[in-house]
Amino acid sequence: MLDVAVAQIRVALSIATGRRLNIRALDRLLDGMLATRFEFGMIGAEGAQALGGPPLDDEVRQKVALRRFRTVARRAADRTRYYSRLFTEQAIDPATMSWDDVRRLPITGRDALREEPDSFVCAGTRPVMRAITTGTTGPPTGVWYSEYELAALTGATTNHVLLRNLIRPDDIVQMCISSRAHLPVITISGTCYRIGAIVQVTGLVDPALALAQLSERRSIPGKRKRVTVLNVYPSYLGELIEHGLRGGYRPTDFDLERILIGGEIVTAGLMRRAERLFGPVEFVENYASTEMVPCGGNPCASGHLHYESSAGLHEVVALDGTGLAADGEPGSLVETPFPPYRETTLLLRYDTEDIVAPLSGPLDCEFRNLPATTHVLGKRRFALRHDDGWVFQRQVMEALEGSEAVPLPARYGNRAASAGVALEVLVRDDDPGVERAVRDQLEAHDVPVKELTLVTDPAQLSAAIPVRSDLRETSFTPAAAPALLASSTGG
Amino acid sequence: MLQSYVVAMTFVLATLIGTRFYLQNVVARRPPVGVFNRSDVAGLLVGVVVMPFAYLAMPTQVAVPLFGLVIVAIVAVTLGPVFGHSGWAWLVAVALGAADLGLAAVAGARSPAQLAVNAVLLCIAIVGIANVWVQSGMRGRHLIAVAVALTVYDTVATALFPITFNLFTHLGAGPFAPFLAWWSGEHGVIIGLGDLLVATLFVIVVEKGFGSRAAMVALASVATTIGIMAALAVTDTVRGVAPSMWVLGPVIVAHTAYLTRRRAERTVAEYSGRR
Repeated sequence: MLDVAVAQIRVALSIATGRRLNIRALDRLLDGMLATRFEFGMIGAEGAQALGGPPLDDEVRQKVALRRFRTVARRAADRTRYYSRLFTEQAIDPATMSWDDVRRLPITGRDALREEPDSFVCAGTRPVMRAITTGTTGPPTGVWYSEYELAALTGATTNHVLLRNLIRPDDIVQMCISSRAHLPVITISGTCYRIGAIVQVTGLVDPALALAQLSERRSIPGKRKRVTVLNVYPSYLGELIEHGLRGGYRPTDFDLERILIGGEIVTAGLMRRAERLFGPVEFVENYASTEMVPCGGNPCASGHLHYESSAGLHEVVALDGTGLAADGEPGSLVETPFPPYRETTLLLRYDTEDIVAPLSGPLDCEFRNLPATTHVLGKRRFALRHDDGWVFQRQVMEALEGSEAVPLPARYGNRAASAGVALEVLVRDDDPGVERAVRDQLEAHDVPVKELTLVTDPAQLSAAIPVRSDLRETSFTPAAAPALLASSTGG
Repeated sequence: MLQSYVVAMTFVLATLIGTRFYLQNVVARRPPVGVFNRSDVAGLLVGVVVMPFAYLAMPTQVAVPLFGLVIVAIVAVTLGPVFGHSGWAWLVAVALGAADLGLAAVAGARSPAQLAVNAVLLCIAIVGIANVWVQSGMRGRHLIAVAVALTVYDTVATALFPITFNLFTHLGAGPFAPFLAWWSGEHGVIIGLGDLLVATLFVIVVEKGFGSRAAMVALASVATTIGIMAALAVTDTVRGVAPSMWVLGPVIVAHTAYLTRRRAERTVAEYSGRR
C-alpha cells in the first residue's frame, strides 16, 4: 500500500503539472490496481476518483487549461518547424497567450499534418514509431511516437481498462481492427499482457475466419473457453453479423460478453442486430484517434461524450468558421493534446473534422462533472448542408441500420438536393415495400429525403461513403467451409 | 497475584476475540487502491525500530502526549465504522483519552481505574490496527516476516540492550502507557503493545486466510502462550522485562507456515464472500 500511495502521488503530480511521467511509478500504480482487483474482487468507485483526481469547477478548469496550453504552445513554438513558423507569422507569444490569442491561433488542419508530418516533430525527442491512421477521410496521415509515449499510453489504457473492469485475467480478447492500426494494437495488446488476458490480433480478415475464431473452443488452463471480448470497428461488426446470421451461427456458438467498439458511428440498429447473433453483450464505446490520443471521449449512459480536461483542450468550432460553436450548435471538434502523454508530435488546435455539439449543462449523468458534447454526429466532409440546415452521418446511419431492409454495414452515398438530400442506399432487395420502409426510417430520424435511389449491388453506388471494414486483409487460410461451421457450432 | 493475572488475561482475551468480531462484522477503511505488501512490512518494521528511540529522545512531557494523541486518533478511526458516525467515535476516543490522563493525575499511574482505561484504549487501538492491515490484504507470508523480524528485534532491544526496559520506564509511569498492565501489590503482569498486536494479527490473518476453525486454534495457541508467560511473570519465576517474542514468534511462524503449505490462502474477496 505504501509504495502504491507514493506512486499514485507521483503520477497525479505528473498529470497535474504536465511533467513527464515516471514509468516505474506508473507501473507500480498499475501493479497496485491489479493486486487490488485480485485481493478485493474490484476497484471501487472511491478508487476511480482517487486515481482520476477531484472534479474541477469551470473557472479552475479554464485556468489550468490555459496554463497547460501555454506550456505545450511554448514547446511547439520553440521546437517544431511548423509552429515556429506559425507563431512568428501570427506574432503571438506562446508564453503569455490569453484565451483570445488561443482562439486567434489558426486551426491545424489534417492536410497540414498530411503534407508535412515531420514539421510537427518536436526537436530533442526520440521518435521510434510512425503510426499511420486508418480512418476513412482521405489519404492516411502519420504521427510519430517515442518509446516513452508508447509506454505511457499503454499504461493509461491499462488504467482505463482496469477501472472499468473491461478485461479480466481469464478473458480471451479478439481484435478485429486494422492490423496497421499500430497504436491501438500496441496499447490494447500491452494492456492484455499486463492483466494476463489472452489477446489475438485477427485483423480485418474474411468475416468467416473471424467468426470461426470467435466461436472456436479453447482449453487453456485458467482461461475462458471462447473469446469473451471483441475489439472491433462498427462496420466490420456489421459484416460479422450479416455473415454470421447467413451462415447459421447462433448465440450459443459464442461466449462473447463485451464488445469494445469505436472508430466509426455506432448505431442502435447495429447493437440490436449484434445481439441477435451473439446474444446479450455489453457494448463499450469509446472515441479516440491516432492523432489526438490521449484526447478522446467517453460516452455516458445519457448519450453524451465527456472529455478529461487533463488530457487536452477540447474546443468545438462553428462549421462556418466564425468562432466557437454555441451550446447545442454543431461544430467541428478541435483538440490540443497536453503532456505528459504527448511529447513527440505536437498538435495545437488540431481539427479532427468530427462534428459534435457542445453541451453546457446542467447535466445529470454519471460524468456530469466533465466537459461534454453530443455524441459524434459524423465527419464534416460527409455532412450535407441543405436549405433548411444540415444532415449528418449519424442521422442517416441510425435510420438505415435501424431497417432490416438494409444490410450491415449500411452503405450509402449522398448529395445535397433542394431543401433536402438525395440518397443512394444499398438494400437487400428492392421489393415494393422496401422504399417505403427506408423512407419512413429516414423521416423518423429527421432526414429530409428528396430523392431516394435503392440499389442491390454495392458497385452501383456512385459515391459511397467508405467504411473501415473495406480495409480488408488477406490470409492464406481459406474461408471456413460449411463443415467447419458445423463443428464450430457444436455448442 | 491471581487478580493481576485474571484481569490481564481478560483484557488479552477480549482483544483477541474482539478483533475477530470486528473482522467478521465491520469493514475497516482502507486505501481505495493498493494491497498490503512488502513495502508495508518494511514500513512497519522501520516504525517499530525507530519509534522507541524517537520517544526516548523526547522528554516525557512531549512523548506521553504525542503517544496519547496517536492512540486516541487510532481509537477514533477504529470506532468510526462501529458507530457509523465519526463524530461519536471521536467523542468516545477523546473521552477515554481524557479519562486516562485525568485518572493518572488524580488517582496515580498504577491505580486500577487508570490501568483499566489505559487497557481499554490499547485494546481498541490494537483491534483497529490489526483489522486495517488484515482487511487491506495482509497475508500469512507478511505475518511470518513480521514475526521473524520482531523476534530478532526483541532479542536485541530486550535481551541484549535495555531499550524496551527504558521505553517502559520512560512512558510507563504515566497515562497512555504502551503496554497492558495490572498490579496487585508488588506483583504485576505487563504485556507489551507489540506482543499483543502480533498475537492479534496472527488470529485474524488465520481467520481471513484459512477459516474460523483454524482461527480458533490460533487464538487458543497464542492465548495459552501469553497465559503461560504471564503466569511465569506474576509468580516471579521470570523477573524483569522478558523478550516475549522468543516464545510467541516461533509459535506464530510455525503455525502460519504449516497452514500456508497445507492449502491456498483466501483473498479478502473470497473471505468476504463466505461471511
